[in-house]
Amino acid sequence: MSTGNAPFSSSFSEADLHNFVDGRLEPSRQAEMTRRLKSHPADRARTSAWREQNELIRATFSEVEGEPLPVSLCLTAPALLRCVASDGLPLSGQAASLLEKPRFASESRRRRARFLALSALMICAGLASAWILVPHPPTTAKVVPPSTAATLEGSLAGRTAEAMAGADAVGRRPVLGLPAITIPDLTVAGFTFTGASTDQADPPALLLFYEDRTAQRIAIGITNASPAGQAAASEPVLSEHAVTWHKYGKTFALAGTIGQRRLNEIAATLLASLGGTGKAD
Amino acid sequence: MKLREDLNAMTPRLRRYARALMSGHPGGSDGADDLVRATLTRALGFRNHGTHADLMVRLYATLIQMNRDVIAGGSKAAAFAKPSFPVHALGAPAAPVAARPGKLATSLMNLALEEREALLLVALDNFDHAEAARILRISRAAFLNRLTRARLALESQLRTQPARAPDDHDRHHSHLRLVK
Repeated sequence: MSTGNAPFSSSFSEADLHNFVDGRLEPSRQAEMTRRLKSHPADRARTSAWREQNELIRATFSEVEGEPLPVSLCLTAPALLRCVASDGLPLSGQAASLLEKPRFASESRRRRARFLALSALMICAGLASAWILVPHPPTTAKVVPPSTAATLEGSLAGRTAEAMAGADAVGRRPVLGLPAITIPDLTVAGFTFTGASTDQADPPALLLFYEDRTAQRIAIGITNASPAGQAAASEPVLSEHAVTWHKYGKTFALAGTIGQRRLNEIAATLLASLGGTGKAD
Repeated sequence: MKLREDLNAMTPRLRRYARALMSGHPGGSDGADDLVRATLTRALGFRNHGTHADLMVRLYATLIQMNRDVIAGGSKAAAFAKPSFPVHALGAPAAPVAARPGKLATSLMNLALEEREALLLVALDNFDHAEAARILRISRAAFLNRLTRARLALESQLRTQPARAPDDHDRHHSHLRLVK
């Protein structure tokens, strides 16, 4: 690749010339170098050309740093929300607030918040167990007014995607009326169950979180309601935020940091694994 | 969580470097993102990553090493979660992508990989020579040799390549002599 020319005259060291080009000489030496180069036109032209190379390279790739990151490259919840936002998906006020300020001011507050989240999760699990064990009349699927039925899927999908982004579940409280369900095993798809949470909005949703070896995450949202009380199973539908479907009077949503094809595959796995859960709840 | 936050902050810069490193190769942008993703995945397993500067050095060193591994024959291509990663396309210079026919992209692609790595660390990412040598795991003298070769080769490439488009004129190098 070499031109075959001597890189530069013996008047300058290789390191000095590169440092000069890269602006890494002390100001006094920089001035001295500029002065000396006046009497070495070949070296002056060379350093000038190399500086222009630097400028050309920076100008060519300068826009890349400002581009929105793809979701697959976002490792934290606020960053993930930025990615989601840059993809044109709407954010709720709660989600948007994550972008404005860190949720934890210190490590001790973070530990405290984790403790609270764990406590809330344990209470939630206890209530869910009691609800399963105590005999109760068969519940009918929650009837959703027709006017809101159309938005149910989109709402759950959005809430699931949002919950997945802020998966630490801080500040959530146990909610009655959650669906009782055996936690699906997705190890076949490479995902391990990492935790659960609840969403207190109406209708309440149970949120299950999974992660694979490459730190890709998915969340499943489940409510005890389906559009207009629809009890029949439906095929998974890919919406703006997630894959959604209905089964046994419940609405399911699946969101994740993975591609749509993968989401659809996991939705199919989920449908198969949920087949044995029965209709009683 | 701190490691994730630090990595998140470094990702745009790392992505820019990966994009430049793979500039001119077919599927360069997607391949660069796959490379960054694989690097971040590996970086999540870092223990005692030290200061911010140390983490940065380690992150770039990981990315460069993973790229070399892929080029070395795809034996470690499994490190990439996406099997569609264009392993075959990275080993040798290929025709530039029509959408990015820029002279610089072509010239960078024609540099030897080790020269491209060295030049971009300094020219694009503004690492000092000592940091860049650490990233490449070579001595400072060896790094300066690579940098010199890269700059001379790029100078030659940019000078001798014909302009591809009317707006792609060689305004940056009018003062350079043509060497045949």
